[in-house]
Amino acid sequence: MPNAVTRSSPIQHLLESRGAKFRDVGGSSYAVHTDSEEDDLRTLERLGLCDLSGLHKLGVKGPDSETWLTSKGLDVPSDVFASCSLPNGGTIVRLGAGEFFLEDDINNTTLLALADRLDTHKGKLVRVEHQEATFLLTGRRSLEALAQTCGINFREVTSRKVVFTRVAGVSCGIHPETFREVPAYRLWVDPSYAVYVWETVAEICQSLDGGEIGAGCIYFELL
Amino acid sequence: MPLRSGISIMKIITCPINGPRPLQEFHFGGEVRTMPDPNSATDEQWADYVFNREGEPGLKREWWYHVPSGTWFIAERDNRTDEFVRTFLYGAEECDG
Repeated sequence: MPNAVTRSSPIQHLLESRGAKFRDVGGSSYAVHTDSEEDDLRTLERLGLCDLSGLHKLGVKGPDSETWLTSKGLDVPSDVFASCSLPNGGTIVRLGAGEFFLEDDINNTTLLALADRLDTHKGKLVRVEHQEATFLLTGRRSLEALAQTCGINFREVTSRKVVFTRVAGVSCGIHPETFREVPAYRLWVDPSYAVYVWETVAEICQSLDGGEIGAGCIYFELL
Repeated sequence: MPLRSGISIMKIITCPINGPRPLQEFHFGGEVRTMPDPNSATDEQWADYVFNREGEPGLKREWWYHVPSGTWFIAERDNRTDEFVRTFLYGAEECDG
């Protein structure tokens, strides 16, 4: 019964206290917008921080994991830490020779079907529970924000390859992307550190004329 | 690492999987040691393994852990100069330190 309970973000209480409006899609709750829709879109292009922790995640590990994923029609990346897109949106990352991390799109169609089939599979693979918080840092000044919190120079990092490093002293995975022609960095962080990381990065964003944005400007289905 | 001019630079360790990273991303895991067979070791051999450590300054083989990615690896470090000579995965090809 993976979808019996609505998945909520570890920083939901924080965003609620700031007046964010929430909407449930695909079994998860998302903060739709923090300011007006137009303001959020402008902030997204300049420097925005968006909470996407509601996105469903799945880990698959074992010698049969690659064969099993390809048998389900998924393209899997060949290099360690490289990623590719899931058919209906979302991302799959190779974490090792026989380990993959998947994050679905907002509608949670791919992982829902996969998880059901994985639970009944008898081969050499196991499900790995992933409950990371997902934060998307977007905009032309996102590199400046990262430079204040992290020891990696992301100007030299290949796009769509995960970097495991520390942000504000907390271990996390960072996935460089491009969103609406501006750079974007997806942060996967342990949920127990989510509030601290969010507050720290949000404060840096504000100092660089950016701020928090709702998921409505990333996924228009939420509006 | 202090320089002669008094300026400090960040210490960098090369993880065999993730490449050069700042020291803050790593934890020290102790000296690389071979455990004697518990079934055949004498009490003296077992006590030596449990309690004693090699304290002589020189080139050491140590376990190090890259925390964000969960990677354990072996580093050869000269503890007289605190220089990492090389790093490599256990049982795998070595890479430059």
